[in-house]
Amino acid sequence: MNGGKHYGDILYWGTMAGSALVIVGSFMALVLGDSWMPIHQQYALLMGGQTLNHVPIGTVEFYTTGDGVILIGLCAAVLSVVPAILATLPHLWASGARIMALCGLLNAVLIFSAAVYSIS
Amino acid sequence: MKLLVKIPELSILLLATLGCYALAVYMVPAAAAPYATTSVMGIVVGSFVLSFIIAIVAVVAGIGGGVIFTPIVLGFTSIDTMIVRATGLVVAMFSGLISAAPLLRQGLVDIRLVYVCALPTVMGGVLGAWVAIEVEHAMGPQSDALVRLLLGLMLLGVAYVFLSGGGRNDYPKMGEAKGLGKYLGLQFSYFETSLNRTVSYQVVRLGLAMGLFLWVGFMGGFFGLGGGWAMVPVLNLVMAVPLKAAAASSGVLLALGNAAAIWPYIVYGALVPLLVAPWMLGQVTGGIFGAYLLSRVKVAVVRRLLILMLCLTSIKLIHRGLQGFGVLP
Repeated sequence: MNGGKHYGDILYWGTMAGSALVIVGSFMALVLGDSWMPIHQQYALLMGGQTLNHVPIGTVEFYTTGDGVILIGLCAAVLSVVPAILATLPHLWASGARIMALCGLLNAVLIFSAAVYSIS
Repeated sequence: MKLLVKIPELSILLLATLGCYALAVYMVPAAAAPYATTSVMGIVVGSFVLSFIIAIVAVVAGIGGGVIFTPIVLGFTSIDTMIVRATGLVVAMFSGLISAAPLLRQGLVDIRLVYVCALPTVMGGVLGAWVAIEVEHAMGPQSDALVRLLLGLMLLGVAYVFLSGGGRNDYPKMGEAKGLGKYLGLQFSYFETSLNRTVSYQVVRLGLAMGLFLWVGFMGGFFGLGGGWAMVPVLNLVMAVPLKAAAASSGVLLALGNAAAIWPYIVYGALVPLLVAPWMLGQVTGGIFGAYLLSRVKVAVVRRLLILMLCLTSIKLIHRGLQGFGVLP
């Protein structure tokens, strides 16, 4: 037993929860029209090779729109990797695979640091 | 249908996604030009369906979806390369995230092997993503042409790897434990149902493999491909991991490796939520279907189709890259 089951289960349900948020955000943006930029305008710019002048991920208002909720869902699913790794570490450590546990911890630190650096 | 009954959360996800898109198509009044509601919803629903198919092919062929998505979209649309590469990483990682649980439960993947291989992949991925952004800053619009040209050339190499099969080895002989692999005790086993026996293997050449994973991570992060296409050969040919375990480990490794590479693209604002949402949902639902179909589909047929697609796409990418540099009209 090396905690692999915990890793898989946390990732599975983390991805499912993130997907649910992505659907809610899609509903807000596509059906209710709650988007930081009108969806028709976004697609017209995208298909024309424009960059939308970079999505305003640094503003609080953005996260109250459908687009923001989609991004939160995506990030939550990606970040579920971190608790999934952490849940396996005690099992690896206890089974004597201490270097692998340290590798796992380093992976979690790298992913979490990349996320924190981005958000800050 | 059986699968939808067996996994209720998959049914709910699929129904909610299709319901949301159906409501958007039928309830939202038509918008003004240049992009009418029907055109936008056509792209959204088309993206979801295409992503669903790509996820199934990716899981069956044992590669990430990024290697299919990124070249096709870069070759055949005008969407900005940074946005395509950011979306490509999402496509590459989500089928791996969702399929990790069943693969780990079956014993095909050992989490200890994944953690060791993921370390250089994660570092390479972040580095590749940052370099991609720096190249974009330094070269401006010309970086688009450069990326298309380089990716086209690289895909020819990927097609060659698939075509040659790389002398792949279903069940490599147990190598002698030595070096880093021996020190870390990297010996694993899993129950192979087709042989009705336990297959054991010893990881060899770990140092070389770590260097290769750093390179694979870098290329995956830079081009938004993920890197699953190269992970299977490294695991199987270099580290002597049995082919089935290598393909399964590659998906799990891909998800972990890209979990760090995606963040520089998010900071840059290259991840457009409305564009990426149908691709992500298609990967999650298609990834589960792909894992279920894995045992029923002839993998060789899928691989041949993939090689043909890679060759055609690489020609288109090289052509567009040369056009961008003004070499071709």
